[in-house]
Amino acid sequence: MKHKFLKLSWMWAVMAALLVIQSCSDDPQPVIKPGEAGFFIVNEGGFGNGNTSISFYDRKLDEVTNNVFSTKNGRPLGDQAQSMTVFEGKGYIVVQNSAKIEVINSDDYSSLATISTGLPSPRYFVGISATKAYVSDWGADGVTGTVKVINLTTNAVTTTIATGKGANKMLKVNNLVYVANSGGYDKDNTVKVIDSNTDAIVATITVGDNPNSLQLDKDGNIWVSSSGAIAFDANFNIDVANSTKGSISKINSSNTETLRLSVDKVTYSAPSSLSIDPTGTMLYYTYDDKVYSMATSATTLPTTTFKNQSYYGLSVDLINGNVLGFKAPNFSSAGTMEILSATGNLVKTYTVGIGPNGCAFK
Amino acid sequence: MLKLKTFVFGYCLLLAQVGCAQMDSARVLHEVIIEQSRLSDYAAQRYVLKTDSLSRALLRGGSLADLLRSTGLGGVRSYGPGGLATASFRGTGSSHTSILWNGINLISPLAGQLDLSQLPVTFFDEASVQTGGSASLFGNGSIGGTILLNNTARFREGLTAKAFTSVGSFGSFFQDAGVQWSGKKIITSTKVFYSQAENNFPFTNINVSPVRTDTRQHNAQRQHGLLQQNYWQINTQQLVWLKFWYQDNHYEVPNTSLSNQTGRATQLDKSYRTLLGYSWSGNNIDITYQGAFVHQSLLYVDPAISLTSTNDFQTLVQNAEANIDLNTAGQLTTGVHYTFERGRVDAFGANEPVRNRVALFAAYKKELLKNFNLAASLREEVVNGNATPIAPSITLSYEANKSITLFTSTARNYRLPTFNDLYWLGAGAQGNANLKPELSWSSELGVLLASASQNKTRYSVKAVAFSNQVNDWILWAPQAGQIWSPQNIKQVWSRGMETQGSIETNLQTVSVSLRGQYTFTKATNQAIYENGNQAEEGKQLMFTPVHEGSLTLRAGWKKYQLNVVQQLTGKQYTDTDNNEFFAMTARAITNLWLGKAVVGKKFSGALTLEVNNLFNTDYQSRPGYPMPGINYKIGFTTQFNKPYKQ
Repeated sequence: MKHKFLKLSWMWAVMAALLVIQSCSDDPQPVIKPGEAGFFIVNEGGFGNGNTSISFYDRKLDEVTNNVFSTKNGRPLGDQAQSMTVFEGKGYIVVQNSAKIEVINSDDYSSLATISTGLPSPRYFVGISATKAYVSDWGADGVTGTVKVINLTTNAVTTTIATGKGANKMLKVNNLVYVANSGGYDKDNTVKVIDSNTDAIVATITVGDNPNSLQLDKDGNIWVSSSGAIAFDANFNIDVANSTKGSISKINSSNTETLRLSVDKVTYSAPSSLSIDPTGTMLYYTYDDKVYSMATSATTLPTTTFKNQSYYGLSVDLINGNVLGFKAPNFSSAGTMEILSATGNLVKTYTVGIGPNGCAFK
Repeated sequence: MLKLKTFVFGYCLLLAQVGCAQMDSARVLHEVIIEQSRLSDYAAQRYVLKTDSLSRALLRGGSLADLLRSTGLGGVRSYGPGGLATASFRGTGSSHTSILWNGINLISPLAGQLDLSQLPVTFFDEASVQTGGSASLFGNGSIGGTILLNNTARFREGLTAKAFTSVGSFGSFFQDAGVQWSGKKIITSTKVFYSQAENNFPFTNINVSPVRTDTRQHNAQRQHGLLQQNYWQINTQQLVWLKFWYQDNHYEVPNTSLSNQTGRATQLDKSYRTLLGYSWSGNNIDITYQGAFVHQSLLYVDPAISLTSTNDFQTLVQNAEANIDLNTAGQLTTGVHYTFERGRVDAFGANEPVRNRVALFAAYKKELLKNFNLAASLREEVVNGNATPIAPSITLSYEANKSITLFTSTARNYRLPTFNDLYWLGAGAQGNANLKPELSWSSELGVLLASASQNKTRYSVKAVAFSNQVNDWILWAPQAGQIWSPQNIKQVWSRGMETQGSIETNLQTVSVSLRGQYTFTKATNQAIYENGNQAEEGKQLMFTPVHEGSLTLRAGWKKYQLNVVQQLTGKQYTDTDNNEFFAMTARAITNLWLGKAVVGKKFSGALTLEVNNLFNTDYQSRPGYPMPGINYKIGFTTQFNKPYKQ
């Protein structure tokens, strides 16, 4: 018995050594970090057309494989996947217009479960613990925004936390979860803070109108992009006087808004897709059909563009800091992912699914 | 011979249709009133596809969508039972087919479409589809095809009463009833119908893991309508008619089957159509006037998002035309057409757009040489004072001999932007007041082979090659600032082949016919607009199958009639860059109909059994819109006639 164990451990030692050698050849760190293997790309598809899909970008192969969910599981993903999050080895695909979450094995994409009750209009997922997650939800009316508490063992909604209109992206900082209330079909101007131990709202932070996304910087500040609220005149032209501009807010660790920077005009293409580089010092966002970058030390908004290009979704590669721009020329044919270097140069373009809006690091 | 006669008689009763061809030959023909426009005379008749009276009798409880599907003409795009159905021929879009009811265009000026599921078969006596562009004859929107729905009537028929009842799967019920008095100078007829369907059929829910069978929810429909028609023959030269068609359609709008939320939206469509006509016939000239007023309202309510949306329009049509017989010099029809349109739509804001359209048209035909015929037509329309591009057409045909006819035709066609295209106001979507009409050039070349009609075994073969280039196609696309707006940016080239073949024969007491139809349509996107997706260039349009066809077998024996229709729909792309992954696979659906005539002295009738999707194929009309498996309908037709006595 002892002999056998020794033999096995000897084999392990050799294999581990081989692994280290192999890993060293292209990556110095033996521990696999999120995003190292690659990332999933969420393609919304055309609303109502049932052609939403998930693609996977394999970093080693430098290749995108499309329709990984449907190919593996032999059925369509649903209608309008809004987001995906990889948590504890599982992929949680939030399919808003299908009112469900598809749970997959993030390695082989096989379907593990469908959470299809109690989620009328789900948007984003954030894992809390091995047995618990939060899902923001707009409500069937698009204004009764909530956070649904999911039991990850039973895959059932256990509690509903009322947050605000259009509960959207969330950010977990230690035991606190920040929820951006993006307004849904109406408007809102708050970020709600939930204590994930008690599921109670512990703070309400007022920011610019319709906050949509949040990021944590290296110094523990939370940055929020807000769309602003567009008012229309009788002819549905933008009523500038009664509209509010989009903005970028900074919230400190004591949940106080310390900075709010408004953009220069009211436009449909409002600040959104707020992303941050791996060092936690450089923010990126889309605004006015362009991409802007801004250091977390800045006190004013940038006046020059990072990339004069319109993207439907934007993200930053956690591994190398490249900027990922997701292009949706329309919602009836395939979109593309453009990888931009940190200096804004186009590195490579990949064909993805219809209406790509973002990614999920594996 | 006696047996054959008995068969023909029973067959005709079975149809319970006045216009049965076989019946006509067996008795004195009464004068058929032709009240609608004569312009269809100038169409290249060889490619007109007429639905026959048998098909209409079979589908008396159905809609024009069902009729087109059953006759295998293809070209129906549908969102499943109870959902919107539109026509699309020769690779064109859903707003490229105009639908004329007794010569009056019923297409909504708001959306440029008309829901085929709101046109009950029981309310018209003739339906024909003319594929191909013919805007010179039928005006705005006849780019891919034209559907002509007509009501016909005859004097001296006496008193007729008819009713049809059917019940079927998934809560379907249909009832119509009509009574008509046809005297020497007066005809008055009233018809009503009511139909309902729950459409709560089981389907395979592929939206969950594991896949399970669910029941379609919130998918019911209710329709009722009234058609009142009156004719007065003032004297041998003058005829007046007045028609009124009211209809109410109530739908529950289901969510796609890809949603786990049950829909709550409803749609209520009401239409009021009034038609007044007058004709005067001289020796070599007859003059026809028709005036029509159409009011249609659509109310869409979604309580889930507190949305109430009203979409109303009114159309006033005035049409006057003269039909002149030039003897050896040919035949000429010319006239003027006026249309007033007004839209009242929530999404137009305070704007209540109106459009005044005046069109002048002329059509001429002549036998140029022996067996060599020419037909030419021209239409010029002025919209709110602005001239649209002129729409001419020319058709040449040559009867090589009694069984072979060759023909060719070329036409320029147009479609005006819809009010939604022009005036829509919404968050993120804005109409474009500067849109131009869409323009197309369509051409075709065809051959018709047919045996003599008195042969015991009769056949016919038709083949038409077509090409249709549509430019300035209006497409809603994202503009700068993420606003969606329509632009004249799409160019489509559609080309292909329409073929039809039929053979019919009598085997002792059994009559058998087999008809096949096949359409090959290559309709591709020819130009990519700025910021568009280059990968779409040269790709097949979505929901436009390259291959479409049908096979229809009919057999009649004594008082029994069997009709089997096999519909074949080829692969369809559901996106604009033809990703095979999202393509809908080809399907074959079989429907069967069995009838037995019941013959009495004054009363006659028929019992019918309809079996749809005979082989219980699991399919969707489009992604997220499942179709029912095998389903049944049982119907009973009854008819009473008291002949007219002098």
